[in-house]
Amino acid sequence: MNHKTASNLALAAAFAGLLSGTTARLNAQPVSGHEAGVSGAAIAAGVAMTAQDDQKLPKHSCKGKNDCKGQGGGKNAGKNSCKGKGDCATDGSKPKN
Amino acid sequence: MTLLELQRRMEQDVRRPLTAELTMQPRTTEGESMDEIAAAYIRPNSELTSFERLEIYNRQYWFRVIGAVSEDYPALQALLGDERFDALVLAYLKQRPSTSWTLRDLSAHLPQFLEQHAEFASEQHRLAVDIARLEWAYVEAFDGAEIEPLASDELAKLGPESTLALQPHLRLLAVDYPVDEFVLAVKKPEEKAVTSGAAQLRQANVTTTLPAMAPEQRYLAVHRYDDVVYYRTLEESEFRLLKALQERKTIAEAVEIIAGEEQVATIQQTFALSSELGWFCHPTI
Amino acid sequence: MPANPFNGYTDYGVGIGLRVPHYDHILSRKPVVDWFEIISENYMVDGGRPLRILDQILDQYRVVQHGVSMYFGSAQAPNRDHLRRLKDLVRRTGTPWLSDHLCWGSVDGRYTHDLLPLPYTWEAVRTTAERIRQVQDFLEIPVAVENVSSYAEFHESQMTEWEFLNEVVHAADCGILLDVNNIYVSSRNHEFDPMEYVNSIPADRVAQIHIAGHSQFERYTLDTHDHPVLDPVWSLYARAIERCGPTATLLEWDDNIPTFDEVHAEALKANRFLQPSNVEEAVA
Repeated sequence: MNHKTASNLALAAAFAGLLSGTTARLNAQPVSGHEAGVSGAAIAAGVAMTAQDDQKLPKHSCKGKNDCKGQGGGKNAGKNSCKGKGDCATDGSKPKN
Repeated sequence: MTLLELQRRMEQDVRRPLTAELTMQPRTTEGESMDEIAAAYIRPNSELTSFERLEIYNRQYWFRVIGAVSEDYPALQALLGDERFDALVLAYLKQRPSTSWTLRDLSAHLPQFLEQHAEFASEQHRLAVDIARLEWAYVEAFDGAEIEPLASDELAKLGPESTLALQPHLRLLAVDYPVDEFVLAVKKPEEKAVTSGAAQLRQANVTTTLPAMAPEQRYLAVHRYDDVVYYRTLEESEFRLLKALQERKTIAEAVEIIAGEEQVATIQQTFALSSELGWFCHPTI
Repeated sequence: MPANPFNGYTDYGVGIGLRVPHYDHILSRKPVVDWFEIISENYMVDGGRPLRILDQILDQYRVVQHGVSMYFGSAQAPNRDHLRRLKDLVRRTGTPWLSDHLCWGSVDGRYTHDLLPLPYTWEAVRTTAERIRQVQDFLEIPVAVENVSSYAEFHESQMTEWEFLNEVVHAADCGILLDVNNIYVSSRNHEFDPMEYVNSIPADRVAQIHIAGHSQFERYTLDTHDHPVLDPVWSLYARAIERCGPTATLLEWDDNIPTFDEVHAEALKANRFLQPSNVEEAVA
């Protein structure tokens, strides 16, 4: 097979793939929820990277911060936990009923 | 002191690195007293000195930015351990303070920083960089833009000289370790098989066994489908084909890169899969 | 006087902050909630789940935007990319008004991501008011500025915080998001009478009120948003409602977030004060 024939075959394969894939996508049932395997495309998507995507929490809020609990960082060479630092002897968080 | 002068003064002080005890440094690196610096512009009250009031903001700054970066790299932290990971994050943030209004972008350059600073991962450097790249790809796939995929009428207009844009949320990675397995073990601990002889990560009430990592070339496509981030492992030829299309080579040029009798099926399969997942969009005819 | 130019002449009741742990509950149970407040920056992304969820919420609920990084008090001009993205989100949500903080947080292109206090000077009044006007003009909706919790004061200050707030909102002709928890936190940290603050604000400019929990440490008080609202804050809230009339009220809960029902129940306690006939009894 000469180079030109090989190239033509490759191009034909590319367009056949484009056609079949697009048709499959357009014919696919709408998928809802996070269950992989409910459609061909969901299977083709591969491996879900988290058990629940809700675990990706947004980062912005307007609260003050006195520690970095549960975030791994900031333990400063492993010597100190961020938790419980900074004159926090009294936690007045409980409602004064 | 003008408003701008005060803000420059305070910003410099708020970003000043903390001591090992997570308190504000008593002296600057130039030897100036922070007591005196703080007293020059911050009022004390009956409970706190000027130094202590400034220290609240100094600590808040670091807790916030460290937290924002750390959240994006749980697998890297699992690999390096808390001590090395914390040192890396602190060094990164000292060199690269936020220049964006959104915290979302703060850790974008950590993989690149780690690439340039092998000392934070020593003999695990290549593995650590690959894990960081995959974890950042996850962030980009999670909230990256999604463009309308190729419609059938657009498909009909395509020819060999057309180019195809790929979905902005799709990330193509070539890695030297099977880091997808490592990241998955951290992000989905309950679903990951145990590999014997590996290190253990304790996280809340879950005990996860981390897979041992040996060098192995892998090609990954990280993308979003139905609001969930997935990855697929690709063959090298599939990766090269998609990479060429992502770099806006024409269909003919991209196909030519891997063309050969044995690749015809791969080409068809790659185009079919990519079309089915809606990766191709807005072609330039 | 709940409906006023500063909240787009709306008449909203008690809302809660939209938080990720509550997404499933809200979308599956469809609880009756008067309105949700979103942190704008968490939805100023290019795509994906945050925007998809937001659209689903918008199909069923009223949403008001609250920002954390506009930094009206920064001495330098606002970031154009930030403003453009914010306007896109404003169009998406249809928020009748938009709020952000009376603070600063960036300088020379670097961001602290904190709500840093301003010196209460005439220069800061002019600068901040000008920024608010610019943002309000660009976004084409009413803007309300929120008083922040603070832990430091400056020698440079020439007036009290409430005098500064009054001067800024008058010069900018904008609304106020009155955070009574922040007033309480700052009053503890700066040793002033919080009721004097509440009594001094221009009631006709209050577009919305925030309530939240805080943490009292040995030598200072921190605005942690991780607990129910404490009694002294409810007292300030009662007085604010007495002065302003029934005003759109929002409970912020950002850490140690309990179930949706617990958060909502805490927020609905505000109804004790929002019914005009109950105000006298509640304050007493």
